[in-house]
Amino acid sequence: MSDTKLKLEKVNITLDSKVVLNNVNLEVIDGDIVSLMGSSASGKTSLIRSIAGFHNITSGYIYIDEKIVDDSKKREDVSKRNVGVIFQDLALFPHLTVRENICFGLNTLSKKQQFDRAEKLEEILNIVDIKHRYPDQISGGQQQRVAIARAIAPGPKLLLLDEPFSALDYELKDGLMNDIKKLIKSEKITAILITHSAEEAFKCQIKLRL
Amino acid sequence: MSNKTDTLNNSLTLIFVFIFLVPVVFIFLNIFSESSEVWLHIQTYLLQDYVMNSLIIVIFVAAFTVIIGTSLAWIVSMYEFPGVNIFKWLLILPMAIPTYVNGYIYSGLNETSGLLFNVMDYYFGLGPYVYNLYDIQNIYGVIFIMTISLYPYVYLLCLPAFANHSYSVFEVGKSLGLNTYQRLTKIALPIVRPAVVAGVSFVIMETLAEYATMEYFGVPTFATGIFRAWFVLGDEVSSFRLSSILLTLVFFLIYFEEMSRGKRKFDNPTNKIYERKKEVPKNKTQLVILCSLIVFFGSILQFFQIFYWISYSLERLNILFIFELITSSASIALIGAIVIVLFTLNIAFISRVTKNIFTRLSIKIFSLGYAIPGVVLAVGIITPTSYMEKAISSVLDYPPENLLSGTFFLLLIAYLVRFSTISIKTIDSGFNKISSSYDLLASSFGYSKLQALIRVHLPILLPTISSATILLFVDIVKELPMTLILRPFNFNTLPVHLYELAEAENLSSIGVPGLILIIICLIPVIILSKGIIKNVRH
Repeated sequence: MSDTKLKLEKVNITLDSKVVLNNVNLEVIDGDIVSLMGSSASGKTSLIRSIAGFHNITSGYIYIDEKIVDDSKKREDVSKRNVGVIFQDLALFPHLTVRENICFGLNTLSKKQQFDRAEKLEEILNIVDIKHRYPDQISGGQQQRVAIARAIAPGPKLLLLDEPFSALDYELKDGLMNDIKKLIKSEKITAILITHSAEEAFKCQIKLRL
Repeated sequence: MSNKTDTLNNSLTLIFVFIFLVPVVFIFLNIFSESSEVWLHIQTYLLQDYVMNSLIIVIFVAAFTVIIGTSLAWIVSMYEFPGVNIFKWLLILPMAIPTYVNGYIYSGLNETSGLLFNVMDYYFGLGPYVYNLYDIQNIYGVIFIMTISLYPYVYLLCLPAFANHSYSVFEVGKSLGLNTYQRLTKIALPIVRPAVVAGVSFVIMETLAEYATMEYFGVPTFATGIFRAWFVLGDEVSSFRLSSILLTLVFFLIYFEEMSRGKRKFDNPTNKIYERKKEVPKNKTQLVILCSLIVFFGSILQFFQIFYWISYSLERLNILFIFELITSSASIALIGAIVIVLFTLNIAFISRVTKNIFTRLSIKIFSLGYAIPGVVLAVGIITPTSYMEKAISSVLDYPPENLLSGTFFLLLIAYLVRFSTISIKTIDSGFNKISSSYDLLASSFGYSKLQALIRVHLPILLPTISSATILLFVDIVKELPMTLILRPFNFNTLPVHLYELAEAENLSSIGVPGLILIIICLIPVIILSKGIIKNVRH
């Protein structure tokens, strides 16, 4: 078995009859952290959303673990792709506490398993003290950590990060990036980070420009 | 979402659209029926009065509410004077007093059971003079009552409009040599124009729909004409023709409002608001007097009169009957509010999930319900229902014709059509504020749409849903014409009872039910104003 985690083959994406991406080919090896750079409206987010399964590609193929998940006609459901997503707006549920947010994707596990998993991630990401707080009661940096913990909690094999650090200052971003890199390595996750910041991209192993 | 669910959702929406459109389509289709003698009579002797009175009332009420509403919003937003923060609240209070209750109170003030008559008679012996001093039951009285009852709609919409603009725009005016009046007319009014147009459109719709006040004041308008043609003269064709004219006017108004908004943006383009201390005017005493007078005539005087009526009607008060009235009013309002909220929640959710033009269009249709006057809607619902009942009973050879007429079901349908507007607008905008990332995230974790609704959307929307339910509850509690026409036999509500007391010229007995109704109506006023005033600069 090859160690290709994600493969895009001649992918075309059209949005509202406008071609957003044309003939994209990409191969990401298991365990890589890849940054995707590009100017505004270059199609970065569209690509991530298509990989996650939120919208169809117009033509081409998307493979995850060598299995076709989208061939522009048939699309595997997003919940079956084992992909974690962190959105630009983080999308933390305002009515749930930090702990409840982290456990949101663990609904198939028992309460005890959910608790153990959440506790482990809280420790790694240094958010143990705020686990009973609501998103509006924590800082921006802590919100990012919660979003990361929630995305990683179900154990995805591929993590898609859509400019999650854009609102943070340099120091906070630096610390957070290091923590995430450690977490991604320890959890053996392949990650794709969308960014328009050269500094963020520089911290990743592979840099691609759209 | 699967095709099966899509079909189910679309079918459900289609059924609701059908229910909404039936009354309107039925009214317009029936205007082509053969003219009756009653219609010829109305056309020859009454139609001119209906048109002229309705137009005069609408024009003056619109003008006065705009003048009073915008001026007051300008004054309390821009100036610092004693009691300004209390006035900001008190000026909204007239919203809690239903227009017809205001009408009954002002009519009763100088009657022999009235506060003004008795105070002047007791202290100065001027009772008979006061009795003959004024007669409010005419078109001028209607204009006055509608103005003091409805100006808060313009005022309340203008408050945040003024607050959301940086004061520097007015300071620029000042630096260019504009005086206060010029700053108001050349800067402030154009800025708040969308709010004024929205407020005054609502005022006009409410004025055209008002039945009880016009009826009690003896001023024939479209609303009273429709009611009389149907229920007194028993001629449905005339009733439909009058309804269709009124509906055309209302739809024209909605079109005008939409057009006037156009694509122009009136929001603060920079979104920056530079705080500053409010200006202390030279004539602050005059401002205090002006605000006090409006508060006094808009809400305080009404309480005095109501308590006066209560003071001497208390001994003949039938507490059990009043309790029954409260229970029946509250039950129907609560059931109606829950039904409407569930319905609109479903439609708004379908629209969010399917994102197709049909559901967006249906939301637009459901948003128009409030524009249809209650009397028109009642007539538009009861007639096709009775036709349908007749058809069913003739086909089935089943004697009782009243399968739906005079049932709670029909009343609830009427509430659904008219009041869904309030709920659909609130809930739909609530849904729009929820980031679509939540839906994507929930689906990435394997949640179905329904599970996402229950676990994500509903908890976030809970405050919105609660406010919508309260607003609906109160709107249904004070609703009169539809309840009067469509209610089941022997079913009485607070407004219907007040209407019956007023029709029987027994104004002195309206104290307790009137006060209870006002207290219930105060709830949404407080909720509404709390939210809006919070945004107004201090």
